[in-house]
Amino acid sequence: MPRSPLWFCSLAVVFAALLFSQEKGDVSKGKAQGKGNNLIRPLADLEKDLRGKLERIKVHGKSLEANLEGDSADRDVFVYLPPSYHREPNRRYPVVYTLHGYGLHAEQWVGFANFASLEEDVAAGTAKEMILVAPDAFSLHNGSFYSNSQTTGDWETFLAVELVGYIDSHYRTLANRASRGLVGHSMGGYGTFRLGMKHPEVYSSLYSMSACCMLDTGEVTPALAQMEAIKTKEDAAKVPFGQKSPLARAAAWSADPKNPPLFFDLPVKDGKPQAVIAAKWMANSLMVMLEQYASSLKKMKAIQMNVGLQDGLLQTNRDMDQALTQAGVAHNFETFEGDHNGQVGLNFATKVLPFFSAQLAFGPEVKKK
Amino acid sequence: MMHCTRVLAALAAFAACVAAQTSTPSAGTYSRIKVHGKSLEGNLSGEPADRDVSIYLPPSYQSQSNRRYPVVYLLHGYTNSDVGWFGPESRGSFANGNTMTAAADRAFIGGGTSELILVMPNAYTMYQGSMFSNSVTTGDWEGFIAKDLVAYMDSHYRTIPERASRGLAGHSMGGYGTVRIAAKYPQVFSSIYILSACCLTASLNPNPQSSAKAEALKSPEEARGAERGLATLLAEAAAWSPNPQKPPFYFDLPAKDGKLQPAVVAKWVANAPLAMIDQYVPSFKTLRIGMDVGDKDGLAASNRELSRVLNGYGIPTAFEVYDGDHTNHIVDRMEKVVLPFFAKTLAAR
Repeated sequence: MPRSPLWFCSLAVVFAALLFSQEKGDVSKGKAQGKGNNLIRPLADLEKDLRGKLERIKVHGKSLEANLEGDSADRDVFVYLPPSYHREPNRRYPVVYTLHGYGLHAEQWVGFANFASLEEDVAAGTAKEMILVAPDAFSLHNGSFYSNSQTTGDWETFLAVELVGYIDSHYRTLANRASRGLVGHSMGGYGTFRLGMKHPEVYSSLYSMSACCMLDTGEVTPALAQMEAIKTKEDAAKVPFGQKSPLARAAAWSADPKNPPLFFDLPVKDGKPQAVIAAKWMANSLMVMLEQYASSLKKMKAIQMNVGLQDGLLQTNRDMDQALTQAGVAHNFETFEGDHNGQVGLNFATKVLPFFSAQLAFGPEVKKK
Repeated sequence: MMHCTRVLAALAAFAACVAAQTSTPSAGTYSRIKVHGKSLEGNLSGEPADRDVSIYLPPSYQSQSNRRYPVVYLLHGYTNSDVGWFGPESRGSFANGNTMTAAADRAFIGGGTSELILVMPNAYTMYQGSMFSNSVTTGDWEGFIAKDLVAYMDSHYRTIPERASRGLAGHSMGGYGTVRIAAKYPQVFSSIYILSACCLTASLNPNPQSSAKAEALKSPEEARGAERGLATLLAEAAAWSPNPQKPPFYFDLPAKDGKLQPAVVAKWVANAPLAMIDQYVPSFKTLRIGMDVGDKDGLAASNRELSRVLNGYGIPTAFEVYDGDHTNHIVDRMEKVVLPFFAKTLAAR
C-alpha cells in the first residue's frame, strides 16, 4: 500500500495542533498530539478504495483577486462524487462544504476527515450519498481564517457565493439551501459559524468540530510579542509553524493596506498593547459576533457542535454552547473522549456524515402552495 | 367654423398648459404613516413593530403621476425622532419651522437639486434610540430598514426600485446606523452620507462604576426619562449585549458590582465600526460615500479616522470638516450638501 513518509503525516498533525497551542499562549505546547500515528490518510491510499470519484479542480475566486499578501486567487478544491453519480445521470445530490483547520491544505484535510468513510457509512446505512467539497484555504501564513480581509481576500464571498455558484453550475447538485450543509474543524469550525452567521440564505445546517477563536482578545502574550520582529515575508517564512498563527490572524482581522510588505497591524507595538488593533481581533470572535447574528443562526434547520474533553479548546466551546443557549439559538453540543485532532476521522464518519444525511433535503425542494 | 374650432382648441390647450404649470405645487407633501417591521416582531423590549415613518414626496410627485423618483432613507440621532426633523416637534437646527420639509422644498424648488423622495423611520425607543443594530432585545433594525421599509416604499410609492436609485444617510446615531447598514446591505443602497457619526470606537476599559446607576434600576419603567448618560448606557446594552435569559431588561451591562465584565465589553467593542470595518471593505468599495463633521464636535477625531481608514483602502469619502458643532448646522448641511450629493449620485429616470 503506497504511503507517504511518516514525517509528512506527523508534520501535518503538528500544523493542525498549532492553533490549540497558540490559543493557550504557550508555544511550547505546539507539538504533535497524534504521536506520529497516521491521522492523515494519504490521498493515494484513500483513492485506492473509492468507488466514487475524487476530483481535484481549480476554482477562481474573483473575491480573492488582488489580495495584498499575494495568495493565489485560483484555489484547489476537492470534490467527492458518490458511486451512483455517473451511473444515474439525472440524479441530483445535496452538497456538504467542508472547511479544514489551520496549517492544513485541503489535500491533507480530505485524508484527515477521511472522505472515503462516506462509502462505508452508506454501505452500513448510517449515511446517504452526497457530494463533499473541500476548498483549500492555506495562505501565506498558513490559513485564511475564512474572513473578509483585503490582505488575504474576501473568503466569505468566495466560499458562500462563488464556490457554491461554481459547484451548482458544474455538478448535479440540489441547488438550494435545504440541501446545503457546512462543516469544519478548528479554524474550519470557526469558519463554519462565521459563514453561517453571514450567509444563512446559503446553508441550512452547520456542524462545528472543535472550533477555534471563540474569544480572541489580542492580549499581548510572549508568543504574540515575538511577532513584532517579523518585518518581511522572508522573516515570516522562517517562523516555525508552531508560532505563526498570530501572523495569520493579523492578516485576516487587522489588515492595513498602508503597512507593506505584510499589510497588517499587530495588537502590539514596541512591546505595548494596541487597543485599536486588539478591538479588531475581538470583533472577529464568535462569542461577540453571536448576538448581532443570532437572527441568522435561528434560521438554521440544525446546528451541531462538538469538542474533545482533552482539547485545550474545551472551555471556550462550552462557553459558546452556553452563549448559544442564552441567545435562544437551538443547537446541540457534544463532548467526546479525545484531544483536538485524534478523533477527527472517526467523528466525521460516525457523527458528521450521519448528521447531514438526517438534516439535508435529498429530494427536490417542495414548493409551498 | 372649422377654423374657429381649431383656434379655440389651440387656445384651450394653451390655457390647460398654463394651468398645469401654475398648479405645480410649490411645496412637497409631508405625511406620517405606519410601517410594519417584520424584522422587529417579538423584540424583548416590547417595542411596537409598527413604526411611525415620515415621508416627504417632492413637489412634482402629485402632478406628474407617471414619474418615479430615487429615494433617500434618513436615520435620526439618539434621543431624537422623525418628528424632530420634520416637525411638529422639530428641534436643534430644525427648530422654529426650519424643518426637513422646508429645507427639502428650498433644495428642490429653485435650489437646483433634482427631486428625491425622503423617508425617515422613527427609531425612538424606550431607551431613547435603537442604535440601528440587530438585537433580540431591541429588534433587527438593520433588517427593518434595509428590507422591510425599502420593500414597503417600493410597493406603495412611485420609487425607482433599484439599488442605483437608493441612498442612505443619517446623523450621529443615524450616521452610525448608516455605516452599519451599508456594510451589511451594500446590495440595497448605492450611496451613503454619514453626518457626525457616533459610536465609531469603543473603550476596552470603560469605567467600572459606569453601570452602577443602571444596576440600581428595578424595571424598564423606572428608566423612562432617564438622564442622557444613563439612557445611553441602557440603549447600548439593549442593542449590543442582549440577554434573553435576563428579564425584565433582557440585557447585560459592561460592569457588575463595580467589576468590569470583559465578555460584555468585548461585545460593545465588536459593534464599533472602527473595529469591524476591515471585514466590510468590499461593501464600501461599491458605494459612493459622503461624510462630514463639525470642527467643534467631540466626534471630529473619530470621524476623521473613519475617513482615513476608508481612504487607506482606496475608497474616496468626500469628507468635509465644517465650522460647527454636533447639531447646529445639520439642516443646512442636509439642504446644501447632502440632498445635492444624492441628486448627483442616485440614478433618476
